[in-house]
Amino acid sequence: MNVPLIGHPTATIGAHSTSVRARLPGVDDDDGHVREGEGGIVAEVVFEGVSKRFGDVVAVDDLNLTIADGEFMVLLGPSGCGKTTALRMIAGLETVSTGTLRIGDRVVNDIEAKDRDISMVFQSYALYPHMTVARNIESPLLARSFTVEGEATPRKLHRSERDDRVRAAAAALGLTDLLARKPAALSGGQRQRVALARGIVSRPSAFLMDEPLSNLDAKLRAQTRLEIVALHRELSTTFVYVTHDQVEAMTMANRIAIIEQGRLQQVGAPQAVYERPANLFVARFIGSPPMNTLAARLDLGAGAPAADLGTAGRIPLSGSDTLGSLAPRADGSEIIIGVRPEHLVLVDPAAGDPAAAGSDTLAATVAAVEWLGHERHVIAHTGADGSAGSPGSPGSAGAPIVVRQTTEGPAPVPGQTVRIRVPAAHVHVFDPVTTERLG
Amino acid sequence: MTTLGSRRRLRESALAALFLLPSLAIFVSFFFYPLYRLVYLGLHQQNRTGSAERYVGWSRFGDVLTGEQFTQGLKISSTYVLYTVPLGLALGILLAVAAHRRLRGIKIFQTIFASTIASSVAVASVVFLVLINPQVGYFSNVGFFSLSNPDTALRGVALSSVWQNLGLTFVIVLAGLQTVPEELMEAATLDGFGPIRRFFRVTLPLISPTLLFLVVVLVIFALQAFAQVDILTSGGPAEATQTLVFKIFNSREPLAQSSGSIMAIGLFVVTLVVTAFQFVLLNRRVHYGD
Repeated sequence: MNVPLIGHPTATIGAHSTSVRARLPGVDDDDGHVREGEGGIVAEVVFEGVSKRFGDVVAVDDLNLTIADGEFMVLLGPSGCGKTTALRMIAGLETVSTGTLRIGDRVVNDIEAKDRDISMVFQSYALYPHMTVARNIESPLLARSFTVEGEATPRKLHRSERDDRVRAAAAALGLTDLLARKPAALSGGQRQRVALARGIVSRPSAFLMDEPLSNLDAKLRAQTRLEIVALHRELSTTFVYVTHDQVEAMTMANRIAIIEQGRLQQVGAPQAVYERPANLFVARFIGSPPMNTLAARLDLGAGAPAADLGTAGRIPLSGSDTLGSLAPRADGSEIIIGVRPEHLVLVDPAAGDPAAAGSDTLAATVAAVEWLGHERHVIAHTGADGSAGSPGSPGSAGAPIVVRQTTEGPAPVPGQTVRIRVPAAHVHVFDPVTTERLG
Repeated sequence: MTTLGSRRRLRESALAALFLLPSLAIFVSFFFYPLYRLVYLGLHQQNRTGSAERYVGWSRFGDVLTGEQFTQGLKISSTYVLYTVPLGLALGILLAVAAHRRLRGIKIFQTIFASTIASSVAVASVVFLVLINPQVGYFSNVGFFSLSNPDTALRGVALSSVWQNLGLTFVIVLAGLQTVPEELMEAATLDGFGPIRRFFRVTLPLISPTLLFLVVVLVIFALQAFAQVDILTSGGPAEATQTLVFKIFNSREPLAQSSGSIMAIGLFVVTLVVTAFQFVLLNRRVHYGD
């Protein structure tokens, strides 16, 4: 029982992720989309008006989302936003209250979890503690039937076939030497790999992951991120990945679906979501440090619209692509402008910087400087002396603004009066009531 | 510094001894002294009135432990173990699995299933006696466990015990089931396992420490069964239900005290060996988590 299944030399960690597909039997090397067993079935996951209610609580509210075959989709949102519930509905661990959920061409609303051909990595990994690593990985191969190459009808796999697949999956994740161990004898990172191996061994039509990295330390997390991306590239299976960590979402996803309070906020490629957030929630949620948002009044001026921030200054909006949608708005109506910290430039009026006199600058007072090694964050308060203006009024004097700087050049000191240049091209404008993006 | 340290250590030891004293007193007066008395009584033959005794020596032990009284009692007790333990355990697991789910009102069923814990052996036996009473009982004509037939009487007694112990088995298995992480069952579901496979491949191994404990406890209960025998059959008919404990109980008069004591020691050793054996044998198959 305790004899290792495999006598292979160690698959070195780090090198293994490059050739997963080559080592998995049945995965066609020439065309990654052809998977044995599924015969290239399209594993698109489609939510059509899907809602999930627990009593009076609406966990997922009218979700419409299409996850393309082979896509790496990240469901991103704060805890309790409904993203895990959405994932569990795909898995079949939660029923769908209303709406239609399709996987491929099958409506799966009433199909049991065990018949859905889906695998999932749980946050806790959910490894069977009483089984060895090999038995854990083998588990998804026991009950189901698989189409074996050269045979027409699916059947249960023989012991030796199962062992082959277990070995291949283990090798793909560098677990070959650990096959005879039990989960209790593994580190957190190793357990995580076992969970991944158990997920890929049956070559499911969709691979679900529920915050799989949250129990790892920062270094291992960064490494595993890369490995999961490599795994996705090699397998070309649909991945649905739930996380509250925007760094994971940005680095791993083909597309991100941002969910808040059960409602889908925006879907798009990481860069698209970052560059054009659809609303204030997305604007503030994506990006670290988050986007600066400031209340302002729209000043339509003479064909040159600007955001009036009261005593702090006036920022022209001419450079942004929001002009069209701003035109019908009343002069003086309230808006919220957003600028990412890296787009702000600190200019020192005392140093005689000519940019300081520009019309696109705000007066501010430096409150604190955070040094991070590779960059620094300058936290400043708007308003000429940091206290001008009344709270709540346009310009919201005193609102903190974060400016991201390189560490070159002298750092400003707290208390120093500065001007912050806000490049018009990088200003986002939002409606304060609907919180939607304008333009 | 050293004297201060050692003095303090001494004071702590004294304090520890003080705290241990009550349990030590209980053990000595209710366990060690009676055990000593048993051995003493086994080594001495009383006269008819119990007013005099003489040393008879260890040879009595061999005679009694190989004698018909003891072997017959042991045989009946063993049969009783076989009747009660597997059935009781299986029923308890079945009930616990049935009641381990999130349903409205499931607490009511859990309470009902566990209710026999609250009744004593005596009460349970009397209830059972009424149930099979030839005149008014619901099960008056069931020959399979009729108490008046020497071939079936032990089954009747065993059945009442199974029922009486069911509450305990149920509660303990249910507690065991609640320690199995929900995510493991979900993972098993996604691995394609139906409820039966999930139970045998995941649930059962994970609650195996609980089951080991239950097997040991139920075997000991069965080996020590007395009250139900006394109430239901008084050892009859034709001594068919005279368990070892019942035979020991019947050796109270002074003349029989010596052999009764030896049988009691014999039962103690048998229980000890069986329990140790269970631990060794079953421990290999038990998974104790991580």
